[in-house]
Amino acid sequence: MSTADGTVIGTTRVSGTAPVNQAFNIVLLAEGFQTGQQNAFNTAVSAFATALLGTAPFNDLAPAINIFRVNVSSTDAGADDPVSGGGTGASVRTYFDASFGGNGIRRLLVCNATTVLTVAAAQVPQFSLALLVVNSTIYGGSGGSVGTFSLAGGASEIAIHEAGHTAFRLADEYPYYAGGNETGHDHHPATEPQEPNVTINTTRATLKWGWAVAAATALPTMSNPNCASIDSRPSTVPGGTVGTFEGAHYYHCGAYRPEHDCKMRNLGVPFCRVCRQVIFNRIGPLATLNARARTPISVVSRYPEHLDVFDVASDGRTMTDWWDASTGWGGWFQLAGGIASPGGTGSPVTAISRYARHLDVFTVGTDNRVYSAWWDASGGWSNWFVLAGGLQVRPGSTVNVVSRYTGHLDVFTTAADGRIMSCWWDVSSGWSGWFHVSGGVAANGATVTAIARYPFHLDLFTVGTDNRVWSCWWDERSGWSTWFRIGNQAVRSDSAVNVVARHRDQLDLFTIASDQRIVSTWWNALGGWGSWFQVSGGAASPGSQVTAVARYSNQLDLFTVGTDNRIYSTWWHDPGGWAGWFNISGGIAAPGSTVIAISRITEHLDVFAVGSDSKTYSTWWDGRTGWAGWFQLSVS
Amino acid sequence: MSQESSPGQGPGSMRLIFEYDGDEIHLISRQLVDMALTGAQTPLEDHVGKVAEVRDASNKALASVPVTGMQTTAEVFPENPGDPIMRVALEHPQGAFTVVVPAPKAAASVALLDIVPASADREALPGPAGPPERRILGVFPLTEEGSTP
Ligand SMILES: [Zn+2]
Ligand SMILES: [Zn+2]
Repeated sequence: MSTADGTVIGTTRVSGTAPVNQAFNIVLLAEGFQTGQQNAFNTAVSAFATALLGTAPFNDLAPAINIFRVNVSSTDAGADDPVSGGGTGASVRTYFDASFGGNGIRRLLVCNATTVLTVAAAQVPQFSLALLVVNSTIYGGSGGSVGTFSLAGGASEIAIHEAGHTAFRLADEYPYYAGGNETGHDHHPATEPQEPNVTINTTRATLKWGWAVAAATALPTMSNPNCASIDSRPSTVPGGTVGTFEGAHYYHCGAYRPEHDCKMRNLGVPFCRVCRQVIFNRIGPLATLNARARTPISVVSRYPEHLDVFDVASDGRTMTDWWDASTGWGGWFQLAGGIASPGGTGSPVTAISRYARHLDVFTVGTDNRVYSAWWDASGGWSNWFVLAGGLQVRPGSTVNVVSRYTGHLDVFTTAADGRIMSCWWDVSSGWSGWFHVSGGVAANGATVTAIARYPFHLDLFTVGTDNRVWSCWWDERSGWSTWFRIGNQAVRSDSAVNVVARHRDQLDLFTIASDQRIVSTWWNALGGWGSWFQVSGGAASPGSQVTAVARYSNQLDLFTVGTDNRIYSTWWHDPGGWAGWFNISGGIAAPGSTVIAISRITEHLDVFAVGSDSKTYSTWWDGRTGWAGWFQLSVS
Repeated sequence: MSQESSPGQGPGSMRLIFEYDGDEIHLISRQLVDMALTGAQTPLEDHVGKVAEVRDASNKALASVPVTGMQTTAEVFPENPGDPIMRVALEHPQGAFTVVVPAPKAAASVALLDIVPASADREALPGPAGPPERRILGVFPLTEEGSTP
């Protein structure tokens, strides 16, 4: 009884067109099918593919899923069915040694997992999930590294539930260990389970699936009145309600599941909202992102070998992807269920890293209120929360943030009526309320940018209702200054003022004039404000911004989308002055989009843009190798 | 973009197949594989549960990937819809599992760890939980000399 009892015939892709190196690849292998019975296996695989791709969220993820069958002939048909497990005593010669009666239980259908994994890896090296289809009408299946199921009606549901464990690390949501009459399973231990779909926590603010819970839903949503037994009452809330339902993770009480029912609780029912999102976040990153083309991307480097990138999908989902030198790109996933406001160019997700193990992110929701969330290495992503008691802002507003020191954040945006608003967070006092900054009002579509040249000073910039650039500052000793106009340059009302400080006594400003010319001015502590000038004859695509990076105190790099929608850069170096604009690696951007850049190590730039196909792209420049080609940002 | 997409900066991946029998774990196969990985984590993140940790020659962690498929219990499913699913403890846990890990050039070994929150085994004790306990299940060299057949 071994691989001597059969032959691997070959492999066929039965579903999916995704590139095999960037897909969720499911491999089904034939067990106990003789040479002349392969069509029965093929039929079973087709039925499984239909069932899986008809199950949410796999239906929506089908473009990233490939299904393969590996035809294997066995000498005999069927599987062992030992008497010790209540079976017929059948003993057959098959390739993967499948047997009913594992652990003395007939329905527990086990196999030689080493052989299954070895054959799967040889046939489809990129496989994500291996399933063994056993040629028997006796009901059975099992999980683990290899899912098994027989041809009995409904047995393929076993494979989908077990994939929930093996491929997506979901917990069991059923409230018993051995059917409900067991002892020792009345109360869940007081340790939070690591899996994303069960919890001991019913506090709304910290609930791990809080993003999916409506404000009107009570928590806990259902409590078990008698912990000595399971709560078998029907749901007291409408189907599909996400909340906290007591009885989960093998315990009658003290652990909660997200919906009343879920495929991780019962076979034959759909996955709950939370399990669907977990599966989506595992497979979805294999796909590329269709971006909201004109919404600026944000990028943060928590440490030199790491990038966190934030973007908004065409349907408004707040998305993030990350790169690490040791793991490559992780792939796009939705950040805490967020949807960003679609007004104007669309609200971006802005981000800041106060220290290497922490991120703070900001956006404007579809209700045009300002939201924040955070990521911490110890706990992952928080839920989105309304910032500082709530502020109605202009649809599509940008929320900019500065951290003057590790324990402090200053946040800036424009209210619905154009007032320039700020709030702050301090580690010692938490969030302040919103306040109006020195009576300032911004032009429609303008953003407020801020910079901290040193920890006890802020400089703010915006475009006023007269379409001129205005500034004010805050200093710990003197508080907020009044707003003042910087020269008389007419600028586009929706132009962001990009500012960098090459050193603490220098500011360089870049923005777009009303005639699309790229203009700049500067301030330094010795000479005060300079006059506006056009940078190397450059002009930007209508709606596009200009982005500046200061790699050294005597080096500036600028990025923009030109009037021909090509992606351009130039630099300033002292000595030498301004270079001419050049097209980066042939790149063409979506009209009116914005190019952003970051320098996470010296002599290196990472650049991000939305292409003319609305996909996100990146390239890099390295001092030793120059500019690389553009690549689509997803997973690697 | 008019430009051809370049491959980006992926470090490559390696599929490992392990066999286990009780507490004994053997690496039986490793295979370089061209595939995108989702779910890998960086050394700065805190992990809980079983992970495969890729290490460099100085034993510094480079990346880790959650491991599933080492079973000590099994699920038994009802033939009749609506009847309960049951868990049973396996009399003799044994089998095989696979994990695909990032394979940066510096990768020298992979460690299988079971990271247990400090509070899990000491629920009755007062006071704050300490750092998670990192139980080493096995360390497997990825260099040619150290490979197992
Ligand atoms: Zn289960
Ligand atoms: Zn669920």
